[in-house]
Amino acid sequence: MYQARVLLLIAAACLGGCASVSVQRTKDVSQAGVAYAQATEGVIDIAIDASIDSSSQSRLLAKPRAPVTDQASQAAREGDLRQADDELVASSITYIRLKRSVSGIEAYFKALQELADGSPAEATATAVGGLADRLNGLNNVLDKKGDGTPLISDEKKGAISALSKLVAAQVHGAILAKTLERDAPVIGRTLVLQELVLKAAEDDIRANLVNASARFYTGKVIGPYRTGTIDDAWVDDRRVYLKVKALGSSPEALTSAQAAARQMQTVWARILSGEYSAKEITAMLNETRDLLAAVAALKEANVKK
Amino acid sequence: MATPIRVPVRRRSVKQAPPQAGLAGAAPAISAHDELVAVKASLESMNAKLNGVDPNALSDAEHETWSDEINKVDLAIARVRNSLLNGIVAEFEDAMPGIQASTARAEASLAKLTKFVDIINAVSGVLGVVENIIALGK
Repeated sequence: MYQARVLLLIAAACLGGCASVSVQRTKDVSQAGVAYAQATEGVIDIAIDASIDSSSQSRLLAKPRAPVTDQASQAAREGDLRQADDELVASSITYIRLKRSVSGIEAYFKALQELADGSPAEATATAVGGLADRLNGLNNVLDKKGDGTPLISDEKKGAISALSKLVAAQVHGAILAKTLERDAPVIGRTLVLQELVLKAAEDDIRANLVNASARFYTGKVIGPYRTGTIDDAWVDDRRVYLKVKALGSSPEALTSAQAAARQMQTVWARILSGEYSAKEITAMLNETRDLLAAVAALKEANVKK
Repeated sequence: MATPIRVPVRRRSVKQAPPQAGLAGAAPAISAHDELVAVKASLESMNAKLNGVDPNALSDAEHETWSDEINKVDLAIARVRNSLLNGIVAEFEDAMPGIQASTARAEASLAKLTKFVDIINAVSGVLGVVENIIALGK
């Protein structure tokens, strides 16, 4: 009867999905999610600076040829800068709010990571082993015959502990699978939004780089060449400009954010489509083998009894 | 590529263009978000060209016009950026309660798993106490 109950429990747990596949999948997705969120937060910080610098550099380039002495013109210039400042303050605040939201996504993936890492399997096996010892001890003091035969033999105790470990792992896996399935729509939506934030931040960073490149070309390359005022430094400046133009000028943070975004999309697509990789199938098979071995050990222990 | 969501724009929004008569369904609708992205890209392209101008090659009148254009385009970019970011932040903050609830559920699941082992250990501990009491009574 007891054996039948255990086997029924195992069968039920197996129906909920194989634990190690769910654990690995959750670890993959949570790791990628944390990396993606952190990369986006880094890009937001750069975008805030880039949007302000781009405005300042353009205004520096376009400064009046002579100091402005007319009071009306001074007031107009001040009003113009204040308007631009207000907009930049507002966009910086909005970027910070977006960063806070992205941190919220990071917190979710960290909680998921902790859940994936928090398998109770080992602790359950130890606890069940301890419980068997206690039952034996209690049986010993209650045993009026006093022949010293343990209620649960060492062999049987080992088999029960191993089984309870597997059952706990299955329960853990089932919880993870259910969590991913339940949260998929929410996470999918926030990932799309996070991609929009990343794109907006990237555009600000790129625009600043393009403007800087345009100023550099005019001021250091084509300008001096046009007027014939070139020297050895011009050779270096021209090389720098052309190499940057040819090879692109993505800062490291942008590149890593794009890589994280790609990884995230791949992992997430796999989660949603329910595809199994070779690695996952191997893990699933290993788990099945362990389960069969544990059941066999329990059976053998009962026969010996 | 058009983004799959419609982001509402709260301030200075660019309204979604209505489908043209006779062409309804011929082309995918462009969201306000996509329109803002396009407007910003166009302004940034203009800004890059203005940044590539050599100020020394301009007459005083041209310089003044160019300088004025740079400042106007800079302000326009900042305004479009704000509209764009406000649309995203509104959508994001609308989604946040959902993600916070999911985080809380994940934390609760972890706590439940730990509790499960704690219960077995507690039962084990009680049995140990009972065993000691009985042994003492013998």
